Amino acid sequence: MGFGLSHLRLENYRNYEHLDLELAPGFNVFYGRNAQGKTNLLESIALLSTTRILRGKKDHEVVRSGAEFAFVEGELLDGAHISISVPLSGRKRAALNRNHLPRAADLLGRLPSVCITTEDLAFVRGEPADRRLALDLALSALYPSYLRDLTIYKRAVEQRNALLKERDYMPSAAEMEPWEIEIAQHGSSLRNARLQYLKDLQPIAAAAHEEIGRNEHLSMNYAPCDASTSAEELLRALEGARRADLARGGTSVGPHRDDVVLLIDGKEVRLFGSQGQQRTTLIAYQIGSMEVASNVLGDPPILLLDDMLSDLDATRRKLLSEAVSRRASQALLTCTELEAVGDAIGKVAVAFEVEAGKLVRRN
Amino acid sequence: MNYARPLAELIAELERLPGVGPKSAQRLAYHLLRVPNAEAERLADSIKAAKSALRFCERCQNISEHQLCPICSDPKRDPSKICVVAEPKDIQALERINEYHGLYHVLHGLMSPMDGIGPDQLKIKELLARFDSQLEEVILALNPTIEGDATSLYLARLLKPLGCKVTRLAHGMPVGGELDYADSATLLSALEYRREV
Ligand SMILES: [Zn+2]
Repeated sequence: MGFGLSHLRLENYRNYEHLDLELAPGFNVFYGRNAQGKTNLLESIALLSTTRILRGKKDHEVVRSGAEFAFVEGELLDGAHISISVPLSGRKRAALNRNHLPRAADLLGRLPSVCITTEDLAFVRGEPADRRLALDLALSALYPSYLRDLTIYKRAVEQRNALLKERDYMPSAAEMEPWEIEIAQHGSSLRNARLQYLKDLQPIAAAAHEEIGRNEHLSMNYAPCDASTSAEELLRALEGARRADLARGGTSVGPHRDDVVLLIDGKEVRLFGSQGQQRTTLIAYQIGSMEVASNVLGDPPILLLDDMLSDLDATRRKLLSEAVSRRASQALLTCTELEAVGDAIGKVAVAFEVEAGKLVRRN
Repeated sequence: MNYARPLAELIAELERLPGVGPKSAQRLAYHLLRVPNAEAERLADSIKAAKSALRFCERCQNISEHQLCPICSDPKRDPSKICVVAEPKDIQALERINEYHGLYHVLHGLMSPMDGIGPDQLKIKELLARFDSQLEEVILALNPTIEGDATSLYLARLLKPLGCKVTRLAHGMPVGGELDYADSATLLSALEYRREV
């Protein structure tokens, strides 16, 4: 059956005061001029899926001005309801079938998604932290154990850093050890999950890139900051780094310092890629992540494609549109002109025109 | 805001209490000013009485009226077991189930360098001082948080060489909980600590 939404309800979400939307099981296209609310719609679904909004933004920004909280509810294809309410101040709360869940993160996995927006170009062009974030989000959505490892890992690193900060003497090994054991256990799980993910993703992305990127060869390699993969090795690396870490006041080894290196025909895309190559790299990566997610979940995740088609040349647009229509089950796309989605999608899609927070179905 | 000085001092004192923010401190202060004198004095007296009458049990560090708390001075308790908890309230929870008949030890916190809490800030020396030949098992009953786990690890390394069994509580699904609504962390640890049936 695939993952998807049959119904979306928004209350006081950005420029939507109230929205009730029936979604088609296949392709849904939202078109219209800029700043009418197309992206907000996709963002609300990404929030349901990941329990967070896109990077660099604060949760409470989604609350429509004058309102106390924003509310998003989706009906899944199997009839279950999931929702998130985001108050102006305080914690967001998630519910399953209108029962509150202990934590918002417990919603993860109910509506897996792959979201492609122009902001995601940071994966290709940005800092190592941007690439780590992309991996963390993708893997957290696939494996709740990854999110748990990540949460514990970050906290353990903070605790170890607190021991190293503003000290001119070395804390005792006995005091360092409990935190290093936590870092090593959970950090090695994170690193291995990322390595495996990229290993699965690489051949799919390379093949997709050959389709849309004029036969240029794309490779993506996980670049760990130290060579350890087992918990035991990472523990030794942490012990070995104690003196240096005391001097720099922070932890220098572990997956929070790793990166992903993206190469086209052997050259680093971040530094030497053209705008077009950076875009095809991102799309190839996302097609790969969609397929890996489908394999892990047993069904394709919902695909959110925000304004990725308009800036591509006609050939690439056609190739992307075909690649997507072959792989996705439910997909939501935004664009300024309806024609931009191409024939492969245009023929089968349901189209909505978006204007000032109102939607009108056009076919 | 300009409060009369005694009021400002009262608000400042209330704000230092755990879980009390500036707004609640203000509300509590105004409430105390409104209640009859006798009621406010009862509160002040009970704080004073508790402070002067209560201390830490010199063996288990639980809050106690006497040098030794009722549990430590009870000859029916089994001295071969010590259950280590973070806070006095955890003892109440364990006593309610009427299953454990050993002794306790209260650490008064968990290790957390971010909050300036290391082994020296906890009642660990006092725990080591309790080791004797009749002690067979130390049960670590600390919260399954990362700070609880790290403190358990620290204690296990410290205690095992002293030659007694060190165990810790299992964590898993709450009884009566529904799988579908369990938070994923609970579900994961329940799966990790599964056992044969
Ligand atoms: Zn006692």
